[in-house]
Amino acid sequence: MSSSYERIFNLPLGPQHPALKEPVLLDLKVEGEHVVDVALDVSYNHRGMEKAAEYRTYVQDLYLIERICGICNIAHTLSFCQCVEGLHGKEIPERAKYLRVIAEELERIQSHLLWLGVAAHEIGFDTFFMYIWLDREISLDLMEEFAGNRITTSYNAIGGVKRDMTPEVANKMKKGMDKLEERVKFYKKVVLSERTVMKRTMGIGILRRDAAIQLNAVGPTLRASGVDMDARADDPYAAHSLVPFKVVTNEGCDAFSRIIVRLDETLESINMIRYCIEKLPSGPLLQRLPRRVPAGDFLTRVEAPRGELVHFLRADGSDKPYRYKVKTPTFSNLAPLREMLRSKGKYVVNVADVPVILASIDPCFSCTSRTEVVKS
Amino acid sequence: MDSSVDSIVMEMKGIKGVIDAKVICERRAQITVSAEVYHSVVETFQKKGFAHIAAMTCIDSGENLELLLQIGRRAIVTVKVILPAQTPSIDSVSDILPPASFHEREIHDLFGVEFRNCPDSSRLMLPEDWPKGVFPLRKSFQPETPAPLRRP
Amino acid sequence: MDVLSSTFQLFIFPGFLFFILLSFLFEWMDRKLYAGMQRRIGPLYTGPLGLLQPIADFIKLMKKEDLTPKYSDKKIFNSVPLLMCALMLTVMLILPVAGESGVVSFTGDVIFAIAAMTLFCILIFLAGFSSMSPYPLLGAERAVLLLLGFEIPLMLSIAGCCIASGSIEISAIVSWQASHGWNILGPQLLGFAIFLVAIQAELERIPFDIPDAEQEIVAGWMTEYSGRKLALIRMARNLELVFMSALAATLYLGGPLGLPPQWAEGIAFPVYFLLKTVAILLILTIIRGIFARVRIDQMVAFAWRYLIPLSFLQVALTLIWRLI
Repeated sequence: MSSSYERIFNLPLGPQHPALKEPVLLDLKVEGEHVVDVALDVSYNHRGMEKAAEYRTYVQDLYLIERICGICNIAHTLSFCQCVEGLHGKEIPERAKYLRVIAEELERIQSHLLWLGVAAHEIGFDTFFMYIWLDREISLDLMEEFAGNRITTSYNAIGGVKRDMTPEVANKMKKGMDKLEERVKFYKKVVLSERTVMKRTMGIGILRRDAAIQLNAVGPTLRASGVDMDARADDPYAAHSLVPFKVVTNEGCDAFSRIIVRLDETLESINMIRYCIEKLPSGPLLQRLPRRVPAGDFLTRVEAPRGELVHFLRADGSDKPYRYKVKTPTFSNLAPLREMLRSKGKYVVNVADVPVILASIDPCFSCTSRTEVVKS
Repeated sequence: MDSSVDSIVMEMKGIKGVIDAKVICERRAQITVSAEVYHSVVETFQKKGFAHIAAMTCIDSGENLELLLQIGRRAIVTVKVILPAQTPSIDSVSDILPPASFHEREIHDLFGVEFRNCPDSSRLMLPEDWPKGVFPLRKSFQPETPAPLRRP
Repeated sequence: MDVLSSTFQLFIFPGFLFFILLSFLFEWMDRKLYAGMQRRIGPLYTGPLGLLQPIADFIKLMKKEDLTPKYSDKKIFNSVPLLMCALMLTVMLILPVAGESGVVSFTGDVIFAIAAMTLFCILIFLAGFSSMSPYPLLGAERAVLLLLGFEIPLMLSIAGCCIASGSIEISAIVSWQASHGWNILGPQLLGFAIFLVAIQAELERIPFDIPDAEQEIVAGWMTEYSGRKLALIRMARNLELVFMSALAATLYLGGPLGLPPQWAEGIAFPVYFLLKTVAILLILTIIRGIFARVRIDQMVAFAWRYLIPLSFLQVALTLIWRLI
């Protein structure tokens, strides 16, 4: 493979690197400017969550599981609560289901806007990054009014939700959604017409449709390869069977189409929130459930902003979980990531493209490597 | 692509090596198999269209390690294998489902289950200087008395 | 008297101190305008409107710990920052600030300017190469690729100016412009555009800041520099910014000459020089704010496919115009 002039040069991207928001080691094997292979090491954010969950009661675990990831915290607490409620076998009140959907979609908007700013920063377009994050403040302020905090909201509780939506908050939310929709449409126009953005993201990080299915890609990474798989549609939970929405896909298979998919998903989320506010039924917020959870296994799937999030709970009848397992979307996206980073034939990956490709799967390595034992 | 869970459960009940098959609730089924037919059962499912791994879990239940492979897109089927805790060893399914190698590496790291024919058994979750033979997620491992970590 | 006036000119005005202060001022303007384009405020607290921020950064860096990598080539590694500063300060002496000629003026000083720019790039390469670390090596490699792409358009656009005025001495170009109108009016407009694009690559600014791409290779060739050496490198880059803007103003916008009241010539000329140089800086900063970064292969393709043919065209047009 290598003649005397070609040599494979080891370029470690990480674990500390300005391109990365979280520590991960991408050990790139580079030939000139082309990446030929990569070895991933995702163990740096390993914190012992799964083991720690076994030593705490369910109520304490709610707060522990929430801290697996700051920006997908509602998705994590939602699936945790659904696991516990599923084992109890009880349905939560209708109003709580709709409120959960509103919280989840608001989180999705906020997460996608964060991601878009980060992606713009990765291609060197700092002006775009600053503009987007300023508009993201609208969604964070709404989150604070609605759920109590900007990030790590602790909004979901076992049996329902904790805070109600007053008419004032509903009004503010509607105004905020209008403003956000206008801004997101503007950003979509910018992305579709700005040539430097298109040059840096089109044709980058290609994941063919069959490779995406075979390697179990999830979330917008999968949907940008033309596969319409979305846990809200395939396995409906909360009020998703009652709230109409469109599963957004794109046939592009590259980083550019992932940008478009996430922007369209943001617009869909805005519509879903509006629908939920309109159709919000009255009723109680919380159904009190006993502390001890009946024995059994339960698995829930939630569409986190990054993809399909799976929580599995085995309860043994006490007030502590026997085993709690979390499979995060970024974990599923690791195999496709490795595939996207390999240059093959006519598809070449430059070193300059690596941060863009990594950013396009929207990695959250705090979610991925949450298990390492914490010394007391 | 996904047949309904009831028909799958019916089908599976007849196959040799399948210890138990039941429907848990809407869109969830559980098939318990023995370790020898695990690979072929997973292959059957993969041919039926269940190629998406939702999760792979391992549970330490005293003398046994239960390995659960949860696959499926709309409906999720749990393929459950019970392995002896002393020498847990099973065939890897990463030849049929390539992303399984990541899941199997994680379980190998944290529980010590050995997957035969796994293409890559390097550490995924634990640091390089973690002592061999210490498996953090087993019940026998108590965080209050951690194994001493050697400084390189 | 002569020695005293020469020393004053060399060290104070328009010599080293003037240019160093000007480089701080330009960094401040660049940062403020860039921030304004991004709906931010930029430097605010140090001094009125944050004017002293670049000086504060410089002083802070001088105080910081200066680490040298173990396996680096220490002689080159340590001397490159000093050489960069020395080079820039030396070459800036040819810029006319208060009259037709700068502190130093001789036939062929345009060529000296071009050579200095190329030498600066070579120093960048040495900086990265002597660091012996993967990121600086990549950054150095990219800097040389940039040089390959942009040196020719830069030289050719300057050549256009020289052909138009018939001389390779900056003072002659400036006085020619005083009598014949600014170089930018006429076929040099194309040359001006090419020059502006090319100097952004020399200065490593967005959209061409590839050797310094923060997200990909940390700080590129500057990665291993810290403390005093980094302070000097940053100052050298700011000086380069001043030099390039001033060169553009001199060659294309007529330099410091203008229509002053006769009695105020000594003051008006430096003011014109400043105004024109700041105008160029504003153009560069606005471009920095509205584009993303291009990849190295795309940039080299752009340089060789578009810029070089255009610069040849520009020289041809100038020759024709000169003959008419």
